[in-house]
Amino acid sequence: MLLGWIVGLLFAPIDAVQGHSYRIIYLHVPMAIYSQLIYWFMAIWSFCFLIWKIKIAPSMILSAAYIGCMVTFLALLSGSVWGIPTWGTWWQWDARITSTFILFIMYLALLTVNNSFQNTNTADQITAWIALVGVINIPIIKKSVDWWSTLHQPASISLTTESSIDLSMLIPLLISVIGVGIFLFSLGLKVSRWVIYRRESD
Amino acid sequence: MEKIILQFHTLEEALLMGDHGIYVWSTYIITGLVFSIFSITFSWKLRNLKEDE
Repeated sequence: MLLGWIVGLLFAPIDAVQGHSYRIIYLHVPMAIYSQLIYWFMAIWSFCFLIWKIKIAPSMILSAAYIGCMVTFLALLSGSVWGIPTWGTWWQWDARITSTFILFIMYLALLTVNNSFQNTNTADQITAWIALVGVINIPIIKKSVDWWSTLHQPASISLTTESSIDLSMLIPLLISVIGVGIFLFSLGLKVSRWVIYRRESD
Repeated sequence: MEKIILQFHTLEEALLMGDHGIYVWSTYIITGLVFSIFSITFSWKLRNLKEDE
């Protein structure tokens, strides 16, 4: 993660249009990617829990919610700061930003609901349903820049089409995405250990 | 592909990044702080829980 950030901050070439402010991309894009991937992870565990009653599923959902909430907050924060020099505003209620904000609210709601029930079984059921229903928002976030005219630019990198950014900028971005993923995974292990311990001690 | 080489000649240049240094560096510093606080909090919660047992 640090390698990607150092290369991106100090070694990647300057952007012709945005200047140095584009360097926030090495933080913003990994956070945006993982904010959505973590929700998919939660939704899959929720489905498994509701269908097969897998015992470990609620702990996985809850652990992912803590990480996802933090990551989505950082995606919104970095996007807002990036917006000041680029768009001249830190916030705009356009489709991409609003749908990402809804994602953040979903994470918060999930954590609040899970912690507000005395009965663990009821809390787990409701949490799983919220996670499953909220997954509708993820394709909306992804497609929001194509479906609506937004201030937010369309995706610069894609798995299916050629990326619109130069390879010298793309390489540190890929290193950042992989690095942040490894870091979040290790953080997730720590959080899930705490969640499992806490549930067992209750 | 452009060369991946050091873009700044002095520390001041690297910190200022034109006029954008404040936005770029503050974002990374706040993220580092959030990660640290998050990690420390859960380490502390985990240790407390183990000690209680």
